[in-house]
Amino acid sequence: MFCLTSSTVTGQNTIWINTGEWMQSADTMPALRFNSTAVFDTVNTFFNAPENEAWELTVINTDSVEHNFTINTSEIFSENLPAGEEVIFEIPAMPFGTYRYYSSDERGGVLGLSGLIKAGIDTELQFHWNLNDWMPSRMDSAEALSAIDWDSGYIPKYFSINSHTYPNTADDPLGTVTLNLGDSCVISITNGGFMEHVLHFHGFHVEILSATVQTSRVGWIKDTLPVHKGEGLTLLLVAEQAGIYPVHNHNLVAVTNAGFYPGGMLTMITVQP
Amino acid sequence: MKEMNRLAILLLCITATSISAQSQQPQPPPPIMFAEMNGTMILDDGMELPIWGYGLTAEGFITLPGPLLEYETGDNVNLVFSNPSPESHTIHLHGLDVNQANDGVPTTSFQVVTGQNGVYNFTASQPGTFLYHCHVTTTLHLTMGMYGMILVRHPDGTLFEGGPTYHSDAPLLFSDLEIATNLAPVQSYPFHDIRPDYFMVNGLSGSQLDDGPSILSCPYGTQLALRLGSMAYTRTRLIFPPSLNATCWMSDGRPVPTPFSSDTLDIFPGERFTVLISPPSTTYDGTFEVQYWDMINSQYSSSNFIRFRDTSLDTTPSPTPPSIIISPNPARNFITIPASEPWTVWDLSGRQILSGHSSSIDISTLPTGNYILRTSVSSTSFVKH
Repeated sequence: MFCLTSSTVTGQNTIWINTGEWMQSADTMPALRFNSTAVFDTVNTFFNAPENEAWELTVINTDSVEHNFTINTSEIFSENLPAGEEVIFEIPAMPFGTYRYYSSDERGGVLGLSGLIKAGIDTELQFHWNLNDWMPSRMDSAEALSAIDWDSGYIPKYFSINSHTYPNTADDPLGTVTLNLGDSCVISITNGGFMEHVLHFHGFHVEILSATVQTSRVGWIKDTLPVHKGEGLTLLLVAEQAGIYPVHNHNLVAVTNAGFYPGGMLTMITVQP
Repeated sequence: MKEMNRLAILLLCITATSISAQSQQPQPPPPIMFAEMNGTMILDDGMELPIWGYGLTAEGFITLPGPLLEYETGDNVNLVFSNPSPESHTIHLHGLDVNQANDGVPTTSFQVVTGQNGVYNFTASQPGTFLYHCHVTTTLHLTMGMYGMILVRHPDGTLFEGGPTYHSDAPLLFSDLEIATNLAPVQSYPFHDIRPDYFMVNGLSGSQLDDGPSILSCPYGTQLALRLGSMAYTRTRLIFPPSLNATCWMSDGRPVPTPFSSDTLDIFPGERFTVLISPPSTTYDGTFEVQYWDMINSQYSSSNFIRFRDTSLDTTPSPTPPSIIISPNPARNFITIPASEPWTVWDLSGRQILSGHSSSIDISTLPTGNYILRTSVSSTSFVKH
């Protein structure tokens, strides 16, 4: 029954909520992540799940407070996860596509509990981009269990792909697309942040294979794609020309690190001739 | 001063960024582009704001947005770009899927440094609406105004092979700016906190869109192709009256699998759409709304309104820019203009080489060639023998 695979251990069906720190530029920020071991890693783990088949997942909450575990499928799956507890969830069957799993509670959301599930994506060449945006002052409030002032303006200072910001996105084997001329690959995208994002591909158009919010756009061929809050997108990219091409957020505040350009949500597609 | 501003607005509207419907004309010769960092735009309230931008060397001045670049499907393009400005620039051909060498990204392609020229070679392989912008310190250069639209027309008068026919094109480029950044670009850090406070359609806003050239029209029974693109920081939302039967046919230079009618269309930064609208009667004269929404806090920011009507109501002919009479032309040592007023002389690579305000202009020191004389209201070429 456990036909689930994770990013690190085939057949793994257990993940941990771990606490730690995430360092960017001059900021060291408190962080929470879904990891495939009990050791904190700055990158949330991902899953290759079966298509249209329910599966079980054990989640261990090592944090000091209760969290929520949610998946945005056609029917929203949402369960509570008490502090220090281990809970086995029956995850509902999901059609082909990319889905966000996350903690919808305030602390979990602000500190980064947001990962990605790929349902039925079995192509050999697959990459994923788990997008997020970060405001250090809100993260400090969440860590201190203080009330977050949601009415004050949101001014994110960092913008990440798989918890990496440019130029460190180049060191991410799961996110940096490397292909040979003529290859096809699938790119899964989720937006785990608190704002809308929009990605622009240089050199290529991509086909939208699935979308959890923009469902009417499945089949569209685009070079610039909005990614709504909480959305999961699955894209097909065919490497029709060789070279190195950027992919980046075209809301230009998001290609910065602490206000400096270039940074943030910017990665590369490399196609070998 | 107010009258000068009005004329400058008029010139800006007409010469490069008119949003009036553009009929399908034979393709012009390939333009030569240049970039400068010393331009000025006039806001709706009359305030003059510094801009950086692109222009055509044949015209000699930059605009926000830059000139509309028009091609036909299949054109092999050699886009010549000269840079007399103090900083390096590029032209990123947004959405045309050009190869790495011509992609306009400084780290992976090439940048055109001060005083140099570059050539972008590409094939306009797909019809549709595209964009271009500088990719050097993009957050700053784009924010300052270095962007424009590219229109690739399908040669048989349809939107694309097998697509619908239409009467004419109306390019609408949505953008915004933060006034403080344009006033003091070197102090614009931090870039993650740019907050647009001025919202535009083809570089115009508010009452500037009430002028004749900004009014869209097509004859009853035909369709106007809205070529929509965004270089904004905000999400742009178009709200069409249902009677216009706004139908989306293309996005990002590709046909959408199933054309759809909608009263509301969201355009995110960098996206493009082609939407056909039609006047519901010969007496139709209405508007559609362009809203701007903050992408960070999902809050409404501002609106502009575009007027659309049946062509039969176009009673006022489109104004044409006034021209300066230069005599003699060609000339060897001196040219004269009718009255004393501030003027500048530019060469065809976009460099300003003379300035003054007298009606008699000494050109004896200029090398033989073609030049542009600019005043506050016009731009006219002359030949130095």
